[in-house]
Amino acid sequence: MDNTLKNKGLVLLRTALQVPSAEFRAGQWEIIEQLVNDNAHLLVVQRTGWGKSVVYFIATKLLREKGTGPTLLISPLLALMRNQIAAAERIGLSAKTINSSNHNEWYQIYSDLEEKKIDILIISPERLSNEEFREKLLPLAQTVGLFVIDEAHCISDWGHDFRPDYQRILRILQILPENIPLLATTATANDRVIEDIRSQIGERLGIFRGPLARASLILQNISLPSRAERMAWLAEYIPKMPGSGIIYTMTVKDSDRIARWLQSQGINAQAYSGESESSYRERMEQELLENKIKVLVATSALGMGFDKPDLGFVIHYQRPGSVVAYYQQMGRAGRALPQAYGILLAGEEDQEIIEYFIKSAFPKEEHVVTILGELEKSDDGLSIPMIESRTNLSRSQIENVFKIISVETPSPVVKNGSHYHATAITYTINKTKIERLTSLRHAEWNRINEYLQSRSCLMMFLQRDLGDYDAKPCGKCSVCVGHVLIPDRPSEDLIIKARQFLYTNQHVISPRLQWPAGISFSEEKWHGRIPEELQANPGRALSSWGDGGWGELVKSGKRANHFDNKLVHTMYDLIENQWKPDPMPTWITCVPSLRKKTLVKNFALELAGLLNIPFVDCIRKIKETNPQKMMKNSFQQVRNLDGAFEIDQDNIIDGPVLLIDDMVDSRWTFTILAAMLQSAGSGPVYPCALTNTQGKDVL
Amino acid sequence: MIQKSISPDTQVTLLLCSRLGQSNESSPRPLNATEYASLCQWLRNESRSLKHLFEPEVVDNYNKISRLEPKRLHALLNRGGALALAVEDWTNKGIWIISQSDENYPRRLIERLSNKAPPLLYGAGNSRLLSNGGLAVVGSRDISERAILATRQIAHHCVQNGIQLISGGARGVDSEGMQTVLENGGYVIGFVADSLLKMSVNGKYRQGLKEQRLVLVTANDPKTPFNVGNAMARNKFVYCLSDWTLVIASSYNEGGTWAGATENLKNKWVPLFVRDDVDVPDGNYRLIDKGAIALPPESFSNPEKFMMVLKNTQRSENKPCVVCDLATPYSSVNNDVNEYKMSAVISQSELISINETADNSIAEKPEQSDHDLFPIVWPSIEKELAEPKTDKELAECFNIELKQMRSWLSLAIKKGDVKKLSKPIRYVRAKHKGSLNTWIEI
Repeated sequence: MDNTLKNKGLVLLRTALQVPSAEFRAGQWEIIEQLVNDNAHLLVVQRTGWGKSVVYFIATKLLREKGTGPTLLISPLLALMRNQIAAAERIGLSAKTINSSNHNEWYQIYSDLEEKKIDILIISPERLSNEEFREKLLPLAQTVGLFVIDEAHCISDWGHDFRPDYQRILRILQILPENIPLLATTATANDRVIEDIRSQIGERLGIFRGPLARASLILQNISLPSRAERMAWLAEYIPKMPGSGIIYTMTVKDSDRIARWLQSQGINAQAYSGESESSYRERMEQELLENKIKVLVATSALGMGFDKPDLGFVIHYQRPGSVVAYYQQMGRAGRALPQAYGILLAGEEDQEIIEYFIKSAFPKEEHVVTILGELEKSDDGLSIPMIESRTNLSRSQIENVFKIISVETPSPVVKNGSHYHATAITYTINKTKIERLTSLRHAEWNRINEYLQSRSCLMMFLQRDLGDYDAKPCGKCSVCVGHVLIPDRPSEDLIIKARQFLYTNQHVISPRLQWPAGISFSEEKWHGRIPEELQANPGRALSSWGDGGWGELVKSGKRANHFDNKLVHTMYDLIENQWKPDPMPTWITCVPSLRKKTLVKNFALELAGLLNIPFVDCIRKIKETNPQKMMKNSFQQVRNLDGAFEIDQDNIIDGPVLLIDDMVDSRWTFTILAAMLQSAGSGPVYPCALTNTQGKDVL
Repeated sequence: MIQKSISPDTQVTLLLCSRLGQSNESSPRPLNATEYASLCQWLRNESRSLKHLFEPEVVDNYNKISRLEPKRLHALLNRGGALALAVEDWTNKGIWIISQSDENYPRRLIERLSNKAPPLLYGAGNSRLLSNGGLAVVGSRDISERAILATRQIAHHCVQNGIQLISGGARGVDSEGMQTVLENGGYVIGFVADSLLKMSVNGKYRQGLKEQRLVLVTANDPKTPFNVGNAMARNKFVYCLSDWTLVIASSYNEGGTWAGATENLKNKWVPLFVRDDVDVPDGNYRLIDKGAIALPPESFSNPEKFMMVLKNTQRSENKPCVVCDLATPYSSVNNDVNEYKMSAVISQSELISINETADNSIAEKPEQSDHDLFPIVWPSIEKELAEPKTDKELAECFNIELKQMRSWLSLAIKKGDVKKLSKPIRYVRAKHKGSLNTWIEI
């Protein structure tokens, strides 16, 4: 009996892998058998590429033949889904995914499910928090025959990659009756994480765990403090790397910047982040799979389970937050290659970025208290824009609060449509837990720094940290061979070029088109859409705050209350030779300040001299305002400026005007003044700032 | 180890008896209270527990002796995926679920209703209140000013004397009573017939829930919107959770209040008081005729009189007295508990005169004719008849005798509301739709 089942499984394995002589790896068949025959609940910890997905595909196939319902696979990323669907189809399984990017297919998928045409339904954890989706999923979940949870380490808040939505999954698993089999899988979980998962799901959870060594990987760490040095290094050595690969950056901005830089150096590179369109991301993954691009410069959004067996290299442009995260991302390289590279670059800004991530991981207690207080005052609940108008909290702060507290159980809020309602639950933020997790993050950060400095085998260091205590020195990494494998200094020429590239790091200031919801601004009671004749034209910012280029000079100019003459010339060059606004401005004015009366004005005067057009001091600040940086959402930013400025009608010139300010962040100052200037009779308004401070802590 | 949100027995009971957030027409059809009770009885006889139902052989054995469709139990028990999703969602929203073996499941429901006790209770707030008893105050949705005043007076008496209020949570009498008690710091059980999820986030209940003075509870899935059938079924739970029930205003022979009150008189669950005043509707007098205890206006305006009535009744029932510990001294008249007979009218003095017992008066009355209860129950039956069903299925569905269902069905056929199909004989709603809703007071 068992042998016939195993033979059946083996045939499926060979079909799925397209290898007629394939055999099960140690553990694979045992897992399948326990799921199919005993409704087991299992946690499988195996390195990427071990063949976890083929296990649940074959289990699904065998369960379906027994007459059970479809498998529900919960998996965090689209990249994973697309790869897996193709593999499942090879053994005759119909796998379908429901996610935010295929809304138009949902209806078909629902009806296919009802007609029992679908064997595996793949959804993201985030979907489970979506009310509408749950309502529709529920009837279909009626007959789920197997639960599969991918990236199960996210369940544990001891893990490096704690995700609120996995708290919901955890509770679902805790309630799951014993007659429904469960398979939780991960490639990266250390002892503590495994123990934590087991204690939460229950002792019934069986554990399968395999060795984590990756024989083909060659590891090396390189410290290069400045961005320019690392960019130069990339430009010099990426062309020498085997095949195609991935560069991981910590921020979206860096992924864009590095991709543009490499392109300028003739390297076929593309950026990839959570902010890219899903269709674009899908195309980029495909092009990387087909080696059509040399390198994808990605944030962690290119994530878990991206399945390219011949990935030649993974380079980290900045240090990731933990050893586990590093192992997981680096481990994507060389799964089916004899040799591949895992290079960790470390920079001076890494620490600051990590600190920011750690600090903003949890909402501040006072934000939670403020929001719950507002909700309790209302009988019918509040939408997010309504909360913005009642508090000085940014949209992302508000969303972050809801993201955390709505998965708490029981939750102090319930979402109905777009409105959040307070429930009768008295909620206090779990400070001990937050402190524990924060200090865990710091410890993890220290550990990755120890890895950077490690004097013993790098692969062994990683394996042991992940609980693989049988690890032996790999004999291949830079520590084992005793010298660098790839030179750790780029050429001076390239460093100079990279520095120049950083200095031409200008941004377009795109005009705002809409007043914030619920506001009625100025005596004219502006609200809703901003009429075209009052909108600003697209403008320019010369730099980004603290970007390693001109931004540094702006920073020191702010401090000295005088902007270096170089900035005036660079701005002139930007306007005359690169931007070339059309029609060309015929006069200049600037945003006045009561605190620093001369700083921007002097700059504007000098620029006017160079451009040879008049400076007209036609905007007056008539009320001291709070610094715009302190206003955390659009509603408060606009309200802060209501009644702050006055236009000197008599001096307005009827022609295109350059509107100068030192910093641009929310763009509301420019938007409001552009509307006021044009309504007072000026021509089109071009906002122009020395630096863009969006997302930066300036104060 | 993290606390599980439901007990193992509740987990199995949910698989057996809950719709798990799905619509009425979901298949397989969950077990009703009686079917569930029979299954539990069998398990006890076999020295097994609910958990053993996860072993397919146990289910097969039961199928051999039960009249359930063999596939039904297996199909119900296989709904684990839906169970996990639904329960996670409910608990996230602050809803708890308990079944009969849970500590806070009120024993009095099992004692009074035996195999009709709800297998599951879904609730929000303090579940310990469910076992504390108290005074149920019921009445129509649309009531007079005097009735509102009387309701508020009683609510105040309850708060002052530490007596919990039990209410159906509907408009009118129910919510007047609840609001008054909650605003004055008292304790309330709201056995609701509307969506529990909706009710539990209503701003007016937030304070009471937060202060553990209110429990909202239902025997239906938390998202189930209001429906007449559930509202009717709920009446008995309101009565059975109480120590006494007071009818503020009832129509005669129609509506939920009348149905609930007569049901209580028939089953002798708890002493029934009926407000007796110049403005009361016909139903109140008829209930008094049937043996309910009349409460004159003095009992509403004078808290001591009211308390006296409660105490006297409780003594006559020979039950542990909830209010005996309270400070008010005992009336000397009521010492002889067993032979005491109570009056249909409470005299203006504190004395209680003697009349027939409530019990006998009901037992001697002939059963209500079909026609009388018909308009009340019909909308619920009709709803089930959107799709053809056999009379047996319907009887099972409403947990009533087959004979009763057949006689209602034949009446409905006469009225042209139902079509009879053959091979096999099934019933389905007729195409035309009369103004049936106007029959219903609720």
